[in-house]
Amino acid sequence: MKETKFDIICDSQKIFRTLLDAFAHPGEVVKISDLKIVPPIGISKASAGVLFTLLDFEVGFAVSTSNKKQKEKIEEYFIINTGSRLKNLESADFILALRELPQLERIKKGSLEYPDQGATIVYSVEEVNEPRPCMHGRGESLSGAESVSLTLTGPGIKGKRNLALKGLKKQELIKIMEVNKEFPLGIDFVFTDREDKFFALPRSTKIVEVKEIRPVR
Amino acid sequence: MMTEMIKGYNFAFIDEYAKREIRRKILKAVSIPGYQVPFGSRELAIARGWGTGGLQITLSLIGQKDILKIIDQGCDDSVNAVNIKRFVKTTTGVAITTDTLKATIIQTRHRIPEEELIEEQILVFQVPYPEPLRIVEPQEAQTRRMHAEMDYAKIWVFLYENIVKWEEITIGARYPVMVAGRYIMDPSPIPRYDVPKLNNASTLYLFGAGREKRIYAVPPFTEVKPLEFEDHRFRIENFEGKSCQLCGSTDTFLDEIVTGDKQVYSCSDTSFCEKRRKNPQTPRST
Repeated sequence: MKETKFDIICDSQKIFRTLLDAFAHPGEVVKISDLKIVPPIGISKASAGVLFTLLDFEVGFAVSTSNKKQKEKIEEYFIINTGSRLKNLESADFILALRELPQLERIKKGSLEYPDQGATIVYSVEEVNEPRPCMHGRGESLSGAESVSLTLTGPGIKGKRNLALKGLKKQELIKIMEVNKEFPLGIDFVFTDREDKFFALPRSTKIVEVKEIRPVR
Repeated sequence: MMTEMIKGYNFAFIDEYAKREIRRKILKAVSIPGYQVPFGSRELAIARGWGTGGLQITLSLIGQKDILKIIDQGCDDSVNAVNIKRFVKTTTGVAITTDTLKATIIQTRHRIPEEELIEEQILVFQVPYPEPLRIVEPQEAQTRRMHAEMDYAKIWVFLYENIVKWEEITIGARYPVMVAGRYIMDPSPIPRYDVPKLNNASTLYLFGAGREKRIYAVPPFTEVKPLEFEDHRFRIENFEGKSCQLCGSTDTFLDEIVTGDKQVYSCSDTSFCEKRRKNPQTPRST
């Protein structure tokens, strides 16, 4: 369980720069590579790497999944490797959500005086992609079930940016739009996928359009 | 890799817990453009008030492959810049450059370089006073409430009274700006000349105030507007009829140098001035 091949100095620094790049350019898909860690089943190297970079004893985290056995294993993994404290959803600074959006109304959104106290959710989905221009709105790159395409705008985005997500319901994105309506209060998101790609959706980003993509048969 | 570094210290001097905290705060700062995130400013080998805020951001960002440039009022070779450069070099071993276009991270005291910065670069500002409302309200609790409620009437009145009294807004450097239509922000003591470069830039701007313990940010492609009135527009410094005594440029930010009874001018951005002397066509950002 204890990761011995995670270089706390160099790996953290590299992941942080990738993360910062993602937050500065919301919706831009980036990738973490060459991480020599073996996270428990159910979470990707990207999710683990991001949390290794940000968690320590000063902050609390929570794992949100319906699989109870898996939940305990993952919690233990992060406690051992980061020293971070386990918290409930209401008081966690970082939440790792597996394949299912937690109840957003329970999560910290900060106060008007200190909006930075809003939580960060690392949400692991099946696949994140920047659709190629010819596929815009159709998303052939994502085969199989439940996919959505997104159009984003806001600070960090030149004009608009398009994205495709697999393993996420349209309804969930509408909930995210809803929770970040009262800017500067809100929750910041990082969406990770199985191939260690991820993108950030800070609260300043507006989702202007969500479309369901029908699976290609 | 780390062969040339001093022993007994962590890579980039500050410990990993400090870096992690600063990194978390930077991400929140980027997520809420213009909002000042409090952070636990650490003791460093230089005194507070000498760029420790910017330095702590730089040390939390920097990796072995980075190329660093540090300027003090546009100059690569002044005392503050040289000291910080030496410090980062000894504790990280990274490459140092004076060329704006070659740097991946640029730490600056009170200037934005003349040349156009690109998306891959990060500009780190050293900030003495992060609170733009401090000139009208001395209490931190009050200014925090004013930001929370977007209650910016006092600063608008201040600017208005300036115009009534002097027919001009008397703030030179540290000209207050509105970020993404939500927060009024202190852009650090950059001259007015540099303020328009904050608007819809390609580069990420990070601001660190070490003594005041605040971090804030302007992401790329973010609207940054100087405070102005419909009938009294913001304007930049006027260098009409003046040119750099070294490269002859008439379109750069100039420093005034008084020698005896004579006034001469030269480019504040020394690296750019050098390039212009070699090639007068070197473009500056517009």
